[in-house]
Amino acid sequence: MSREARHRKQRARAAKGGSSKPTLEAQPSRPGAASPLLGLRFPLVAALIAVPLLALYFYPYDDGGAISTRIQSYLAVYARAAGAVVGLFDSHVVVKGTTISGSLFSMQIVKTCDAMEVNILLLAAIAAFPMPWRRRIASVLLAIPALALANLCRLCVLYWLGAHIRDSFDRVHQTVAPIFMVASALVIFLLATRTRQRKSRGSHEPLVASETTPS
Amino acid sequence: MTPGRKKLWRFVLVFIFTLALLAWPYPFLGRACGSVVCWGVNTWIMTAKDTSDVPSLERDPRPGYDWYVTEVVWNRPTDSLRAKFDVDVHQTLYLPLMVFAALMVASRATFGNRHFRVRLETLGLALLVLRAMLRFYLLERWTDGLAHDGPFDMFLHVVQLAVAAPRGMAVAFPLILWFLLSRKALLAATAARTG
Repeated sequence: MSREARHRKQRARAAKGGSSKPTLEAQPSRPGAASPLLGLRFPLVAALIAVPLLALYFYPYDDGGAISTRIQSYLAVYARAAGAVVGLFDSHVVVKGTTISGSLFSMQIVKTCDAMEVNILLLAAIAAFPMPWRRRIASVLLAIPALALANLCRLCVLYWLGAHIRDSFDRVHQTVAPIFMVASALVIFLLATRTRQRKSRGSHEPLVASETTPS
Repeated sequence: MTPGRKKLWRFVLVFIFTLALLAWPYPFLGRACGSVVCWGVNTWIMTAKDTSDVPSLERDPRPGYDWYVTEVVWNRPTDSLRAKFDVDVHQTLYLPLMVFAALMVASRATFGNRHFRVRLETLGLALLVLRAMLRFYLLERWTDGLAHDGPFDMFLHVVQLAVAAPRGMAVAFPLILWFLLSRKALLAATAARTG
């Protein structure tokens, strides 16, 4: 049988809805099916993406070097963004380099203030989650700005606490803020994967292959 | 929303609420935990070899923040001070432990007693991992404090900067660890549910 004839036969069978070789890709999601999150592939791929990125960002580059200067420029942009938001309720705020100075309080944006570790973990989790590339890119493009927005809120709250309730600043900065950022990333990740499930159920779009338990 | 997703959301919400409640550095708790951690580190984390180089962890009377212990390294045999550095036990020990505690509470509230064994195994493994992490952290601070600059020290330094130093990691790392440890049990539970 020629290749074209074989393809024609397969197409006809698919049109009837009776595929002789059911694959994981063609199966609709079942409520009780194991989530792709529980497969081994997900944590491995996420770790493969996250570890080099974390090492790259947190490597102690020489002060004044090209990479260090770029990171400082990026932090300065972050400081300007945070300063613009803080400026909405404190008109005396001035941003100079990575320092946000107000009439009551000043704070400097340093490497970990951008919550890069949480951003990298979220990026790795979304990139490792089995879904089509287009949706994966869209999820990353929505999730990272959403997390940046949450971080800007965190910086504004910290500035306000520093200006008005100085005693609470350290505690909130060291305890509540990291929990808030990780919780935000967790919720954003769950929302990103939820959208995938709802769409795949609604449109009977094929799911990508994942480790599902036999039922 | 599927029942599985509902459970997942419930789990996340209970976890966040419990963690926020447990992780707040209450002043009286800080002083007590600082002392307990100093004692624990001196008797449990440090080995005899370590204590010959690093005799003890001492409480640092820093106002407003009770969670620092100061590690002191002495020159032997002259007993002159060689290096001194702070260890934030809230960040390195208390917060990760509370993440595990919150995970256990959330697991109990969501899955009932079915995951009791997983919780026990997780806690045991978590304590071992935390011990290893704290040892690593102290080793890194020690080599850093003594200005060692070999490739292994640089590796330790980069790992410390990427994994231990960012404050989010104190929450994210135990969460990832718990997920990896309980993944098998969750998979088995799902398989049993689906028949």
